Amino acid sequence: MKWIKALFYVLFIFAGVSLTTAMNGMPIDTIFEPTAFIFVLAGWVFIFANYSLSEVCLALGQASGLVQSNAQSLAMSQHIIAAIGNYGLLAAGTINLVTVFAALANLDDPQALGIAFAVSLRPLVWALTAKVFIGIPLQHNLRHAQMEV
Amino acid sequence: MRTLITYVISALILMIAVINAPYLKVYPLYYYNDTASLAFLIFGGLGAAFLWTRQDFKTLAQLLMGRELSFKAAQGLLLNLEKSWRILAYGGLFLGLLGLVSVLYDVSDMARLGNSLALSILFPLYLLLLRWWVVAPLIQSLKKVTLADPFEL
Repeated sequence: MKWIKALFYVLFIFAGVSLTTAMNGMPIDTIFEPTAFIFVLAGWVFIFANYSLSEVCLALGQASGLVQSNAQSLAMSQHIIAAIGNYGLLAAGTINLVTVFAALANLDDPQALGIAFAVSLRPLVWALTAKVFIGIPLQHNLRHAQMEV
Repeated sequence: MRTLITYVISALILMIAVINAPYLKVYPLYYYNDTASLAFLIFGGLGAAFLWTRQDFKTLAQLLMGRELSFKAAQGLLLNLEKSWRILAYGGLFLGLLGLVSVLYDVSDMARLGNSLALSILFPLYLLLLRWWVVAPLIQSLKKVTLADPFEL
């Protein structure tokens, strides 16, 4: 039942995003550009500065309900998931400011300004999508599991 | 060692991303240098560190040397670190807004306006980098100690 719910959740999100982009006449690949994702990835990687791969995998396993282990506390797993999302946002925010800086340094060229501002938001779109549509539901799962215990 | 490897891998990923981003115009490093922002960051950081106790400095030194921390010491440092970070960030926000107001006051010269706005962005950029590369990993290490409470399992 849980998996059917999760599947419907993903389908609804995808339908919502597709509908919004189609109504605004935006091709979806202009928003989710792979390079912006690599920038956010550089932020996510920072989770390994404090946690080992097994700790991160266990947190993801506990959050998705695939692993029923008490080797790691649920509060810790919840914290790891939140930290991944926050690191992504920090990286995206930094890249966003670097790009805006570059755009503003060329304010006398209005042709290039629009596209520069638009691309500066791409990493933020990736980071927020991951945090809001994946990170927060996983955190809620863990919170529910914690309350059941 | 793991921390060092993480920093290197993250830097490599960033480099790959920059190479793959033709739209990202990367300026030489001196373009990103703003003495006023750096001075505020240093003095603001020193001011915020006045909240710390001697024990907090000892705990920080132990943490940097990779030694085991006690629950109480980690919790104390965590509280003060978050408090001093908040002071620095809100102070920076206030100064950034003040700078923005003074910049927008005269919008007749577009080229000058662009440069001034770009400079007003540097302080938040420094703050974000500080949070991403220094403060957040420190907070994570401390939270790891405070959350690893055996009674909660």
